[in-house]
Amino acid sequence: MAILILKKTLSRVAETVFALLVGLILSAVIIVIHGYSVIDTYYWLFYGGFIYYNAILDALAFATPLMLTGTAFAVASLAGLFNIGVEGQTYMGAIGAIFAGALLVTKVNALKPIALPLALLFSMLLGALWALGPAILKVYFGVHEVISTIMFNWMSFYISMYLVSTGPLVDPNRPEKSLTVVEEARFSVIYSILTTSIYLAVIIVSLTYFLLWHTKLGFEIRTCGINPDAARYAGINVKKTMLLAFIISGALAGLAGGLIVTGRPPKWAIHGTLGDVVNIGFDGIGVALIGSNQPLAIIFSSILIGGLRNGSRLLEPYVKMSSELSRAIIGLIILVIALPELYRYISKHLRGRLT
Amino acid sequence: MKLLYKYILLILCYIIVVMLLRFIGIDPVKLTHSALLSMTPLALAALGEVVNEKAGLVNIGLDGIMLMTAAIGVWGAEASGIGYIGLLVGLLVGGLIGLILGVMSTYGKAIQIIAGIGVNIFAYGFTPYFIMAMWKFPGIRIPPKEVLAKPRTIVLNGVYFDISEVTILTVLLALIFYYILHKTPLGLRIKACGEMPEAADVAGIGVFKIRIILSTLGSALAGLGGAFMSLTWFGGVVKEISAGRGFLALGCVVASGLEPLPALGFAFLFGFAEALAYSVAITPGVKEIVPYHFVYLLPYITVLVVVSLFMRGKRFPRALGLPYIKE
Repeated sequence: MAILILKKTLSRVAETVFALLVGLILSAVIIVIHGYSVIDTYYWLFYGGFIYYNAILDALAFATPLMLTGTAFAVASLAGLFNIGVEGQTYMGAIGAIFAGALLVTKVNALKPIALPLALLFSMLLGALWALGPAILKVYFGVHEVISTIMFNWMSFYISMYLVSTGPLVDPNRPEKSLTVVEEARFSVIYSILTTSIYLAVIIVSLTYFLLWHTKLGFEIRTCGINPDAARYAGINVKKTMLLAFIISGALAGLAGGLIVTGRPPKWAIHGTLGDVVNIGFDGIGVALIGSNQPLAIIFSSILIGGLRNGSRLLEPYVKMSSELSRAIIGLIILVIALPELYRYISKHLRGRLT
Repeated sequence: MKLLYKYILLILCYIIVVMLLRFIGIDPVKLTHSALLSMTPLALAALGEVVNEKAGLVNIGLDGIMLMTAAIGVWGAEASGIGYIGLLVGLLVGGLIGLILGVMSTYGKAIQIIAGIGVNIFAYGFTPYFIMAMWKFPGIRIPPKEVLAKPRTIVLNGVYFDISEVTILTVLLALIFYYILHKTPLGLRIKACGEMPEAADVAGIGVFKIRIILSTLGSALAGLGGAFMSLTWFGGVVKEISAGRGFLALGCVVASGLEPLPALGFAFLFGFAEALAYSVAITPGVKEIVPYHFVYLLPYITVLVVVSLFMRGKRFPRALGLPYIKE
C-alpha cells in the first residue's frame, strides 16, 4: 500500500517537473524571439528566486498568500467548481483587514488587543461574502461560475479601488495608499518582508487538507466534484455542499488578502491602485494546478511560484525585461498541465527506448 | 413575423431609453456610436465562441486572446504602417492560438477549462512583457495616429455618424452564422459534432477537423476583436485593455443559448451598458456625486442580471466541453 502511494506520488511529481520543464523551454523560445539572452534571464530569475539565503526568505514571503489562494482554488476545484473569483475575494479580504485593523480598532479602543484576529476574521468574512454571490447564482440560477466570478472580480476591483483611493479607507496623509493597520494587528517580522504569517498560512492549509481528506464534509465535497449525480443518489445535498465549498474557498482567498495587509512590512497597507493584491488570485490558480489540488503539495508549489515572482523582480534592472515574464511562464506551465496526454505520450516513448 | 415585431419593439425601446438619457445631457448619437464600438469586440468574440461551442469545444481563454492580439495588433500596424494590416495580424494571431487550442482539445484530449485558464494567465503575463520588449516602456503604447484604423464618418442629414467597417462585418457575420447553422447541411454537421460526436463520426463527419476549424475561426474572430479594441476604438494599448471583455463575451454566449443573432443582441446590450457607464462617468452634474468607480460596475452587473435571467431553459450541446475519444 505504502509503495503504491509512493509510486503514485512520484509519478505525479514527475508529471509536474515535466510540465515545468516544457513551460521553461517554451518561454525560452519567446525570450529568444524578442532578442533577450535566455541564460541571463533564467540566471537572474532563479538567482533572485532561490539561490541565496535572503532570496529564499523573500520567496517564502511571496509564497504566503499564494498558498492560501491556491488552496482556495483547490477546495472549489475538488467540488467541481472553477472559482476564478479568488482574485476578487482576495481584494475584499484585504479591504476587510484594513477596515477592521485600521478603522474599527482606532474608533473602538477596547478592541485593540484583539486587533489581529479581528482583522483576519473580517478578511475571511468579506472573502466568503464575495464568494457567496457567484455561489448562489451557480446553485439557484445555473450561471456558470467562470462568468459570474470574473464579473465579481471586476466589481470588487472598482469597489476596493474606490475604498482605498478616495473612500473611507484612504490614508489622509498619503492619499496614494490605504490606511495602515495598527501595530497590534501586525504579524511579527522574521526577516525583511517575511513575517510569522507564514506559520498561520501553513497551519490553515494543513487544516484544509484535514478537512478535505479526513472529514465527512471533505468527502462530500470531493464526491460532488467527481460525480454530482452519484453524490445525489448517495444522499449528499449537492447544492449545500457546493455552496459550502464556495464559501470555504472565498474565506481562504479573503484570508490571503488579509495576510497581505497584516503580514507584509514595511507598508502594512495596500496601494491605491491595488498593486499589492492584484494577480495574487490568478497566481494562486497556477499554484493549485501545479500542486494538482493537493493542499500539502500546494505548500511546495506556492514556494516555487513565490520564488519565480520574487526572482522576476531582478529582470527589470538586470535584463531590461518586464517582470511579468514569470506570469507568462506560469500560464505556459498550466497549458502543459491541461494536456496530460503529452506527458503520457512522451514517457511511454522514452520507456520504450530504455527497455 | 412575430420575431420581426419583437425586433421593432426592441429598437423602439432603445430609442426611448436614448431619448430619456438626453435629459441628463448625454448625446444619443455619440452614445450609439460608442455603444457600437464597444459592441464590436464583444460580438466578434461571442459569435466565434457560439460556433465553437456548437461543435462542442469550450474556450474560456477569449479574454487572454483579446488582450494579446490588442498588443500584437498595434505592433503589426506600426510595423506595416497600415491599421488594417494590424487588424489582420490580430486575426491571424488569434487564429493561431485557436488552432493550437483546437489541436490540444481534440487530439490531445486536453481539459478545456484549464487550458483556457492557462491562456488567460499566459496573456496577463505576456502582454506587459511584450509591450516592454517591443517598445521599451512599461504597460502602455500609443501608436502614431496614421497607423490606426479609425472608423469612417458618414454624414446623414447633417448628423455625423462614425462607424467602422469591422462593425458592419460583425453584423453580417451574425447573419451568415445564423444562416449556416440553421439552413445548411454544414450547420447540421457542426451541431452533430457538439451533440453526439460518436454518431457524427459514424456518419462520416470529421469531428476533429470541424472542431479544429471552428476553434481556429472562433479565436481568430476574438483576435480581430482584440486588435479592433486597440487600433479602432482606444487608439492604443494598455496592459489591462481587455478588462474582462472576453468573459463579457462568454456571458453573451451563454445568455443567447448558442444562437448568433441573440448573441449579437446581448453584445449590443453589454456594449451599450459600457458606453453608458463611460459617458455617465464624465457627465457634469453626475461625476461630482457618484464616483466613477461605481458607474463602471454597470456593465458587469448587467451581465450578471441578463445571464441569470436568460440562462433558464437554455439547452446546450450534450458533448460540450468533453473531449471526444475515438474508439
